[in-house]
Amino acid sequence: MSLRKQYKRLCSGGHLFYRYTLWLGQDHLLYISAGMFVEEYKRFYFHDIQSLIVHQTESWKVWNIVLACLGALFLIMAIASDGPGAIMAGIMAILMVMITAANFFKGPSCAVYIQTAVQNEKLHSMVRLKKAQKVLDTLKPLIVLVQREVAVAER
Amino acid sequence: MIRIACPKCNGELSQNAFNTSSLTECNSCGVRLRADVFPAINKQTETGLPGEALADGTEASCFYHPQKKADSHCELCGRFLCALCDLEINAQHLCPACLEIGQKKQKFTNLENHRILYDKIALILSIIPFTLIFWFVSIITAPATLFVVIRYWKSPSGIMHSNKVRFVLAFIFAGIQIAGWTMFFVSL
Repeated sequence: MSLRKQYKRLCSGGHLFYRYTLWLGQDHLLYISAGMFVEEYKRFYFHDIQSLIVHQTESWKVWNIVLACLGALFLIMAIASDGPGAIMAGIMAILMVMITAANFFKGPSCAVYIQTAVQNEKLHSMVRLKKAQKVLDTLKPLIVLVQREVAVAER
Repeated sequence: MIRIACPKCNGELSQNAFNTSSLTECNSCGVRLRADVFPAINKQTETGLPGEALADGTEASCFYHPQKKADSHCELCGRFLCALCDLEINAQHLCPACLEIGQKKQKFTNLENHRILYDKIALILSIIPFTLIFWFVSIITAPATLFVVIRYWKSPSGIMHSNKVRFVLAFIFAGIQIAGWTMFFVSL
Protein backbone atom coordinates (compact mmCIF):
# COMPACT_ATOMS: atom_id res chain seq x y z
CA MET A 1 0.00 0.00 0.00
CA SER A 2 1.31 3.43 -0.89
CA LEU A 3 1.75 5.91 1.92
CA ARG A 4 2.13 8.84 -0.44
CA LYS A 5 -1.14 10.46 0.63
CA GLN A 6 -0.03 10.49 4.26
CA TYR A 7 3.23 12.27 3.52
CA LYS A 8 4.40 15.50 1.95
CA ARG A 9 7.75 15.55 0.18
CA LEU A 10 10.08 18.12 1.68
CA CYS A 11 13.27 17.70 -0.32
CA SER A 12 15.39 15.24 -2.24
CA GLY A 13 19.01 14.84 -3.19
CA GLY A 14 21.59 12.24 -4.07
CA HIS A 15 23.65 10.99 -6.94
CA LEU A 16 23.56 8.45 -9.75
CA PHE A 17 23.10 5.31 -7.63
CA TYR A 18 21.58 6.66 -4.44
CA ARG A 19 18.59 8.91 -3.93
CA TYR A 20 17.65 10.48 -0.61
CA THR A 21 14.25 11.96 0.14
CA LEU A 22 12.75 13.52 3.23
CA TRP A 23 9.01 13.26 3.79
CA LEU A 24 6.84 15.06 6.30
CA GLY A 25 4.39 12.80 8.09
CA GLN A 26 1.76 13.61 10.69
CA ASP A 27 4.04 13.16 13.70
CA HIS A 28 7.40 12.27 12.18
CA LEU A 29 9.88 12.73 9.37
CA LEU A 30 10.48 9.81 7.05
CA TYR A 31 13.96 9.69 5.55
CA ILE A 32 14.27 7.35 2.56
CA SER A 33 17.62 6.22 1.15
CA ALA A 34 16.93 4.51 -2.16
CA GLY A 35 19.71 2.49 -3.71
CA MET A 36 19.57 0.49 -6.93
CA PHE A 37 17.53 -2.37 -5.47
CA VAL A 38 16.85 -1.53 -1.83
CA GLU A 39 15.09 1.26 -0.01
CA GLU A 40 15.98 2.03 3.60
CA TYR A 41 13.73 3.98 5.93
CA LYS A 42 14.40 6.02 9.02
CA ARG A 43 11.71 7.74 11.04
CA PHE A 44 12.40 10.71 13.24
CA TYR A 45 9.46 11.41 15.54
CA PHE A 46 8.90 15.09 16.32
CA HIS A 47 8.89 14.44 20.07
CA ASP A 48 12.35 12.83 19.84
CA ILE A 49 14.14 15.46 17.78
CA GLN A 50 16.63 17.38 19.92
CA SER A 51 18.23 19.56 17.29
CA LEU A 52 18.52 20.29 13.60
CA ILE A 53 21.82 21.76 12.55
CA VAL A 54 22.68 23.06 9.11
CA HIS A 55 26.15 24.28 8.19
CA GLN A 56 27.44 25.80 5.01
CA THR A 57 29.97 23.74 3.04
CA GLU A 58 32.60 24.70 0.50
CA SER A 59 31.67 22.16 -2.18
CA TRP A 60 29.56 24.75 -4.03
CA LYS A 61 32.61 27.01 -4.51
CA VAL A 62 34.88 24.08 -5.38
CA TRP A 63 32.48 22.80 -8.05
CA ASN A 64 32.05 26.30 -9.46
CA ILE A 65 35.83 26.64 -9.84
CA VAL A 66 36.31 23.13 -11.27
CA LEU A 67 33.46 23.49 -13.79
CA ALA A 68 34.54 27.00 -14.81
CA CYS A 69 38.11 25.77 -15.36
CA LEU A 70 36.85 22.86 -17.47
CA GLY A 71 34.66 25.25 -19.47
CA ALA A 72 37.65 27.55 -20.07
CA LEU A 73 39.80 24.58 -21.10
CA PHE A 74 37.25 23.40 -23.66
CA LEU A 75 36.85 26.97 -24.93
CA ILE A 76 40.62 27.26 -25.50
CA MET A 77 40.56 23.85 -27.26
CA ALA A 78 37.66 25.01 -29.46
CA ILE A 79 39.53 28.18 -30.46
CA ALA A 80 42.88 26.44 -30.93
CA SER A 81 41.65 23.51 -33.06
CA ASP A 82 39.56 23.32 -36.19
CA GLY A 83 37.14 20.90 -37.85
CA PRO A 84 34.96 18.43 -35.91
CA GLY A 85 37.27 18.64 -32.86
CA ALA A 86 36.57 22.36 -32.53
CA ILE A 87 32.80 21.74 -32.73
CA MET A 88 32.99 19.01 -30.06
CA ALA A 89 35.11 21.20 -27.77
CA GLY A 90 32.70 24.10 -28.35
CA ILE A 91 29.70 21.94 -27.39
CA MET A 92 31.52 20.76 -24.25
CA ALA A 93 32.42 24.37 -23.34
CA ILE A 94 28.76 25.44 -23.66
CA LEU A 95 27.71 22.42 -21.56
CA MET A 96 30.22 23.29 -18.84
CA VAL A 97 29.06 26.92 -18.79
CA MET A 98 25.44 25.78 -18.44
CA ILE A 99 26.26 23.38 -15.58
CA THR A 100 28.36 26.07 -13.84
CA ALA A 101 25.51 28.58 -14.17
CA ALA A 102 23.00 26.04 -12.79
CA ASN A 103 25.27 25.26 -9.85
CA PHE A 104 25.90 28.97 -9.23
CA PHE A 105 22.22 29.93 -9.22
CA LYS A 106 21.23 27.02 -6.97
CA GLY A 107 23.26 28.74 -4.28
CA PRO A 108 25.65 27.63 -1.53
CA SER A 109 25.77 23.99 -0.47
CA CYS A 110 25.24 22.71 3.05
CA ALA A 111 25.16 19.68 5.31
CA VAL A 112 22.22 19.03 7.62
CA TYR A 113 22.26 16.94 10.80
CA ILE A 114 19.36 15.74 12.88
CA GLN A 115 19.99 14.80 16.49
CA THR A 116 17.89 12.63 18.78
CA ALA A 117 18.77 11.06 22.14
CA VAL A 118 20.27 8.03 20.42
CA GLN A 119 21.59 9.21 17.07
CA ASN A 120 23.07 12.05 15.08
CA GLU A 121 22.21 11.51 11.44
CA LYS A 122 23.32 13.43 8.38
CA LEU A 123 20.42 14.17 6.04
CA HIS A 124 21.79 13.81 2.53
CA SER A 125 18.51 14.96 1.04
CA MET A 126 19.27 18.59 1.85
CA VAL A 127 22.28 19.85 -0.06
CA ARG A 128 21.44 23.49 -0.78
CA LEU A 129 21.42 26.07 1.99
CA LYS A 130 18.42 27.96 0.64
CA LYS A 131 16.26 24.81 0.53
CA ALA A 132 17.53 23.58 3.91
CA GLN A 133 16.61 26.88 5.57
CA LYS A 134 13.15 26.67 4.04
CA VAL A 135 12.67 23.09 5.28
CA LEU A 136 13.90 24.03 8.76
CA ASP A 137 11.48 26.97 8.84
CA THR A 138 8.66 24.51 8.01
CA LEU A 139 9.72 21.93 10.59
CA LYS A 140 10.58 24.15 13.52
CA PRO A 141 7.00 25.18 14.52
CA LEU A 142 5.72 21.61 14.05
CA ILE A 143 8.40 20.12 16.29
CA VAL A 144 8.00 22.83 18.93
CA LEU A 145 4.22 22.32 18.96
CA VAL A 146 4.46 18.53 19.41
CA GLN A 147 7.12 18.80 22.12
CA ARG A 148 5.08 21.41 23.98
CA GLU A 149 2.01 19.13 23.87
CA VAL A 150 4.07 16.19 25.14
CA ALA A 151 5.49 18.32 27.97
CA VAL A 152 1.99 19.46 28.97
CA ALA A 153 0.66 15.88 28.88
CA GLU A 154 3.52 14.64 31.07
CA ARG A 155 2.92 17.27 33.76
CA MET B 1 23.53 22.44 30.61
CA ILE B 2 22.84 21.95 26.91
CA ARG B 3 25.82 20.78 24.89
CA ILE B 4 25.58 20.81 21.11
CA ALA B 5 28.69 20.12 19.07
CA CYS B 6 29.54 21.81 15.79
CA PRO B 7 29.15 19.10 13.11
CA LYS B 8 32.31 20.28 11.37
CA CYS B 9 34.88 20.75 14.17
CA ASN B 10 33.04 19.01 17.02
CA GLY B 11 33.66 22.05 19.22
CA GLU B 12 30.95 23.12 21.63
CA LEU B 13 28.51 25.63 20.16
CA SER B 14 27.73 28.79 22.06
CA GLN B 15 24.15 28.99 23.35
CA ASN B 16 23.87 32.33 21.55
CA ALA B 17 23.97 30.38 18.29
CA PHE B 18 20.81 28.41 19.16
CA ASN B 19 17.45 29.15 17.54
CA THR B 20 18.54 32.32 15.75
CA SER B 21 16.71 31.28 12.53
CA SER B 22 19.66 32.66 10.58
CA LEU B 23 23.26 31.68 10.01
CA THR B 24 25.79 32.39 12.76
CA GLU B 25 29.45 31.47 13.05
CA CYS B 26 30.89 28.62 15.07
CA ASN B 27 33.21 29.99 17.77
CA SER B 28 35.80 27.29 17.13
CA CYS B 29 36.04 26.85 13.34
CA GLY B 30 34.11 29.85 12.03
CA VAL B 31 31.83 27.77 9.79
CA ARG B 32 28.46 29.41 9.13
CA LEU B 33 25.66 27.40 10.67
CA ARG B 34 22.14 27.42 11.99
CA ALA B 35 21.26 25.37 15.06
CA ASP B 36 17.60 24.80 15.91
CA VAL B 37 17.49 23.24 19.36
CA PHE B 38 14.26 21.82 20.77
CA PRO B 39 13.00 21.18 24.33
CA ALA B 40 13.57 17.40 23.89
CA ILE B 41 17.27 18.09 24.50
CA ASN B 42 16.49 18.53 28.21
CA LYS B 43 14.38 15.39 28.43
CA GLN B 44 15.76 12.36 30.25
CA THR B 45 15.95 9.21 28.15
CA GLU B 46 13.13 6.88 29.12
CA THR B 47 14.15 3.45 30.25
CA GLY B 48 12.05 0.27 30.16
CA LEU B 49 10.27 -0.72 33.36
CA PRO B 50 11.50 -3.88 35.06
CA GLY B 51 8.82 -6.47 35.72
CA GLU B 52 7.34 -6.52 39.23
CA ALA B 53 8.08 -9.70 41.21
CA LEU B 54 5.16 -11.96 42.17
CA ALA B 55 3.96 -11.31 45.72
CA ASP B 56 2.31 -14.73 46.16
CA GLY B 57 1.37 -17.79 44.09
CA THR B 58 -2.19 -16.63 43.35
CA GLU B 59 -1.23 -13.73 41.02
CA ALA B 60 -1.06 -14.17 37.26
CA SER B 61 2.49 -14.27 35.96
CA CYS B 62 4.18 -13.21 32.75
CA PHE B 63 4.33 -15.87 30.02
CA TYR B 64 8.00 -15.12 29.35
CA HIS B 65 9.06 -14.43 32.97
CA PRO B 66 7.09 -16.77 35.29
CA GLN B 67 8.53 -15.10 38.39
CA LYS B 68 7.22 -11.64 37.32
CA LYS B 69 3.70 -10.30 37.83
CA ALA B 70 1.46 -9.97 34.73
CA ASP B 71 0.79 -6.34 33.95
CA SER B 72 -1.20 -6.65 30.71
CA HIS B 73 -1.86 -9.12 27.91
CA CYS B 74 -0.83 -9.31 24.25
CA GLU B 75 -3.70 -8.11 22.07
CA LEU B 76 -2.82 -10.60 19.34
CA CYS B 77 -2.03 -13.87 21.10
CA GLY B 78 -3.51 -13.16 24.55
CA ARG B 79 -0.40 -14.11 26.54
CA PHE B 80 0.06 -12.42 29.91
CA LEU B 81 2.94 -9.95 29.96
CA CYS B 82 5.00 -8.23 32.62
CA ALA B 83 5.94 -4.54 32.29
CA LEU B 84 9.22 -5.48 30.57
CA CYS B 85 7.57 -7.64 27.88
CA ASP B 86 4.65 -5.29 27.23
CA LEU B 87 5.47 -3.49 23.98
CA GLU B 88 3.17 -0.69 22.89
CA ILE B 89 3.01 -0.23 19.12
CA ASN B 90 0.31 1.79 17.37
CA ALA B 91 -1.66 1.96 20.63
CA GLN B 92 -1.66 -1.88 20.78
CA HIS B 93 -0.06 -3.94 23.54
CA LEU B 94 1.99 -6.75 22.02
CA CYS B 95 4.36 -9.43 23.17
CA PRO B 96 7.89 -9.62 21.67
CA ALA B 97 7.03 -12.74 19.61
CA CYS B 98 3.95 -11.15 17.97
CA LEU B 99 5.92 -7.98 17.30
CA GLU B 100 8.64 -9.98 15.57
CA ILE B 101 6.11 -11.90 13.47
CA GLY B 102 4.27 -8.66 12.62
CA GLN B 103 7.51 -6.99 11.57
CA LYS B 104 8.45 -9.94 9.34
CA LYS B 105 5.01 -9.95 7.72
CA GLN B 106 5.18 -6.14 7.35
CA LYS B 107 2.02 -5.62 9.42
CA PHE B 108 3.45 -2.55 11.11
CA THR B 109 4.41 -0.06 8.43
CA ASN B 110 5.98 2.30 10.91
CA LEU B 111 8.47 -0.39 11.95
CA GLU B 112 9.51 -1.24 8.42
CA ASN B 113 13.10 -0.16 7.85
CA HIS B 114 13.88 -1.51 4.40
CA ARG B 115 12.35 -2.98 1.27
CA ILE B 116 13.87 -4.90 -1.60
CA LEU B 117 12.69 -3.39 -4.87
CA TYR B 118 11.94 -6.49 -6.92
CA ASP B 119 10.23 -4.42 -9.61
CA LYS B 120 13.45 -2.45 -10.14
CA ILE B 121 15.48 -5.68 -10.25
CA ALA B 122 13.11 -7.08 -12.90
CA LEU B 123 13.23 -3.91 -14.96
CA ILE B 124 17.03 -3.66 -14.90
CA LEU B 125 17.33 -7.35 -15.79
CA SER B 126 15.05 -6.78 -18.77
CA ILE B 127 16.88 -3.62 -19.90
CA ILE B 128 20.48 -4.92 -19.70
CA PRO B 129 20.27 -6.79 -23.06
CA PHE B 130 19.10 -3.63 -24.84
CA THR B 131 22.53 -2.15 -24.29
CA LEU B 132 24.00 -3.51 -27.52
CA ILE B 133 27.15 -4.97 -25.95
CA PHE B 134 25.20 -7.38 -23.77
CA TRP B 135 22.34 -8.39 -26.14
CA PHE B 136 23.34 -12.08 -26.01
CA VAL B 137 22.76 -12.29 -22.22
CA SER B 138 19.03 -11.92 -22.85
CA ILE B 139 18.87 -15.72 -23.23
CA ILE B 140 19.44 -15.83 -19.46
CA THR B 141 18.07 -12.47 -18.29
CA ALA B 142 14.71 -12.72 -20.09
CA PRO B 143 13.60 -15.94 -18.31
CA ALA B 144 15.11 -14.55 -15.08
CA THR B 145 13.03 -11.39 -15.51
CA LEU B 146 9.86 -13.42 -16.01
CA PHE B 147 10.69 -15.44 -12.89
CA VAL B 148 11.19 -12.28 -10.79
CA VAL B 149 7.99 -10.70 -12.15
CA ILE B 150 5.86 -13.78 -11.45
CA ARG B 151 7.49 -14.75 -8.13
CA TYR B 152 7.45 -11.26 -6.64
CA TRP B 153 4.36 -9.75 -8.31
CA LYS B 154 2.66 -9.35 -4.92
CA SER B 155 5.74 -7.89 -3.20
CA PRO B 156 5.36 -4.21 -2.37
CA SER B 157 7.35 -1.72 -4.35
CA GLY B 158 8.95 1.36 -2.80
CA ILE B 159 7.10 2.75 0.22
CA MET B 160 5.92 5.76 -1.79
CA HIS B 161 5.15 3.89 -5.04
CA SER B 162 2.34 1.40 -5.20
CA ASN B 163 1.92 0.82 -8.93
CA LYS B 164 3.16 -2.13 -10.97
CA VAL B 165 4.46 -0.14 -13.96
CA ARG B 166 8.03 -1.43 -13.61
CA PHE B 167 6.83 -5.05 -13.39
CA VAL B 168 4.61 -4.59 -16.46
CA LEU B 169 7.43 -2.97 -18.48
CA ALA B 170 9.88 -5.69 -17.42
CA PHE B 171 7.35 -8.36 -18.47
CA ILE B 172 6.86 -6.73 -21.90
CA PHE B 173 10.62 -6.35 -22.53
CA ALA B 174 11.31 -9.94 -21.42
CA GLY B 175 8.44 -11.17 -23.59
CA ILE B 176 9.90 -9.41 -26.64
CA GLN B 177 13.32 -10.95 -25.98
CA ILE B 178 11.91 -14.46 -25.54
CA ALA B 179 9.86 -14.05 -28.72
CA GLY B 180 13.05 -12.96 -30.52
CA TRP B 181 15.01 -15.99 -29.30
CA THR B 182 12.12 -18.32 -30.20
CA MET B 183 12.04 -16.92 -33.76
CA PHE B 184 15.83 -17.29 -33.97
CA PHE B 185 15.77 -20.95 -32.93
CA VAL B 186 12.81 -21.71 -35.22
CA SER B 187 14.63 -20.16 -38.20
CA LEU B 188 17.61 -22.49 -37.53
